[in-house]
Amino acid sequence: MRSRILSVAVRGALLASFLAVGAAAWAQAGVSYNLGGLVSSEPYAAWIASDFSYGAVSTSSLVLDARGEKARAEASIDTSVLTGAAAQEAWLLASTPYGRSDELLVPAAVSGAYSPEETAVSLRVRSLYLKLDLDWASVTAGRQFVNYGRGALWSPTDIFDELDLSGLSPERIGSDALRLSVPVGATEGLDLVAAPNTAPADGRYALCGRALIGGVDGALLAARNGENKGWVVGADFKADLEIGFYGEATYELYDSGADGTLRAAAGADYSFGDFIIAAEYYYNGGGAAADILFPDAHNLYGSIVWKASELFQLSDTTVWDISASCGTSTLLATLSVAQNATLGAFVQGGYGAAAYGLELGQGGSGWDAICGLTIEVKF
Amino acid sequence: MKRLLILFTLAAAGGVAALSAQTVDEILSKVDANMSFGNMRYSGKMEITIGGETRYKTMDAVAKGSEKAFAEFTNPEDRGTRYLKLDKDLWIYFPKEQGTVKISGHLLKEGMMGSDVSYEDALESRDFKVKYGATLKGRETVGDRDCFVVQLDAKLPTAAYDRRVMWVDAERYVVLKEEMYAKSGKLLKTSSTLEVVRIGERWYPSRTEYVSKLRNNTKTLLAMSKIEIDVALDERQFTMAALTK
Repeated sequence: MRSRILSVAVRGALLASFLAVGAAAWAQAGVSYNLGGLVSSEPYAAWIASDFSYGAVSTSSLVLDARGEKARAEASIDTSVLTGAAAQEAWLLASTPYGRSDELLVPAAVSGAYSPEETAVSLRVRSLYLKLDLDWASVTAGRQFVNYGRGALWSPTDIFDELDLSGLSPERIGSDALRLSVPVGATEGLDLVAAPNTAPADGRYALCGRALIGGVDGALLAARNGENKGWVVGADFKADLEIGFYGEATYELYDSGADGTLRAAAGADYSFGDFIIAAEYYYNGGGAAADILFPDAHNLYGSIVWKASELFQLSDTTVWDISASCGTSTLLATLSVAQNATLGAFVQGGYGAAAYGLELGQGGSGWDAICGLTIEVKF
Repeated sequence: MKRLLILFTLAAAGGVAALSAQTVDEILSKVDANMSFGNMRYSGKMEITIGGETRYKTMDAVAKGSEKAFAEFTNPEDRGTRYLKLDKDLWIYFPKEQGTVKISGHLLKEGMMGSDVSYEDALESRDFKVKYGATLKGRETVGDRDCFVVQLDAKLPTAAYDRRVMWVDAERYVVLKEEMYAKSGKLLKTSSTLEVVRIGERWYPSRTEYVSKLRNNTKTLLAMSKIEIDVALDERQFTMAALTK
C-alpha cells in the first residue's frame, strides 16, 4: 500500500512537472512549428529455420517540433502496417521479454489474403517531450532519448535507453523520464535524470557529469538501478589520435551483497579513401540480468562503409557473440534516387541461436537469411 | 579558403599577416578587412551536384570570430542536424537519436554533409600566418577582373593543404578563385566565387562553387543569404547545451 501511494505520488510529480514545463512552453510568444517525417516501405523475403516466407513493413513517421525562445516540444510517432512474416515476427517479439517497450501492436483488418497473425498495425511513440530552457539549466519531461555513452552499438553507461535490434540498424528506445541539465561551461555540465518505474523503488536515477579535457570528451556517472536493486558507477571517453578511440565501463554493486558486475565497451573508428571502418568490443560480466539482449560475456561489432559517391553507398554491419558463436551480418546498398528519396537493397544473414536481430526468439541454429528492399521518402 | 570557412560557420577568415613580401602583406590585409568579422549570422544553401543529379541542403548559421560557430540544417533530409565548432573541436548533433558525436581526426577529411568541402576545410582557423608562407606570383585576369596571384606554402604539418594559390580581385580584394594542392603536387580542390555583394564598407562573396578533384564529376555551390555581420550574439549559442537544445 505504501509503495503504491509512493508510486502514485511520483507519477503525479512527473505529470505535474510535464504540465508545468508544457504550460511555460506554450505561454511564450513566437513559437514556430515544424512538421516533418518520412514514409518508407520494406518488402522482404526470409529463409528462417528452413522455412521460406515473405513480409513487408510500411511505415509513416511523423515528427512535430514546436520551438520558442525558451521552450521546445517534440512528438515523434511511427505508424507501421506489417504483413506476412513481418507481422508474425512482430507478434512473436511482443510475446517475449525482447519486445519493444515503446510499441503498441494491434491486429490489422484481415483480408482474405492473410490470417489474423499475418497482419498487424504497430504504433510507436518514439519521443514525446517538453523542454524548458532556463538561464541556468534545462528541464526535459516526457519520453526522450537520454543517450549516455559513446558506443556505436553498446553503451553500458546508458542505463536508460533500451536497444532495438529488430530493424536493419540498431536503434535506441526512448525513456519516460524527467531530466535536469545544468551547463557549467561551454562543454561541461551536470545531468540529473529520473525514470521512475511503476514502483519508484524500481526506477532508474542518475547523476552524470561531462567535460572536455585536453581534447578528450569524458563523463562520469553515478546511478541507481532500481530494477536490479543496484548502485552503478561508470565512466566514458572519446579521444582522437587520428584514429578515433572511445570506451566506457560501469560497475554495479547490488543491495543483496552479491558480487558486483562489470560491463565495458571499447571501440575505434577510422577512414581511408572512400571507406569508413569501425569496430567495437563489449564485455558483459552480468549475464542476462545485466543485458538481456547480449547475455554472453564477449561480443564484437564491426562495420565498414564504402561511399562510392555521395549518392551511393554500400555498408556491412556485423554483430558477433564470441561466447555463443552466433551473430548477424547486414549488407546494405543505398542510392539517393531523388531529393529526399532513397532506395536500398539489403541482405541480412544470421548464424546460430543469437538472441538478437533476425534470430530473435527463434532459438534455431545454422544459417538464416533475409533479403529485401527499402524505399524511403522524407518530407 | 577563408570564404569557405565562413560559409560553413566554422571560421571567420582571419588576418593573413607576417608574410615575407610587404606587397603580399598589404593585399592579404585588405582581403582580411573584407572577410574578417566579429560576429556573423546568415542562411545558407548548398547545391551538391554529382553527375547530372543535384541535391539541396539548407541551413542557418552563426559564427563568432574564427573560433566559434554553430549551424543547423533545415532541409527535410537533415532537418535538426547541428554542428558546433569550438576552436579545433567539432561536434555533430543528430536529432533522431538526440545524440551528440565528436568528429574524429580522420573523419575531418570527409565531405561535410555530402559536399565537396571537408570538415578539415571547415575547421581550419585563421592562423594562416602561422601555418603558411606567402608569395606574390604576379597578376592574371579571372573573368573580366584583374587579380593578384598569391601562393601560400605550408610551414607546419597541421596545415590542411601543402600549397594553395589564390586569385585576389585587385580592386575589391576578394578571393575570386583558389586552388588547393597536396604535398605531391596533386590538385585536391578548387573554389570559384560566382557572386560578390556589398555589405556596408566591405565586399563579400555570397556565391561560391567548390570542386573536389578527388571525386568524379562533383561540385558544391554555396549560396549565402540574409548575411548579417557584427550582430549581437549570445555566448550561450556556442555551447553543448545549445547543440542539444
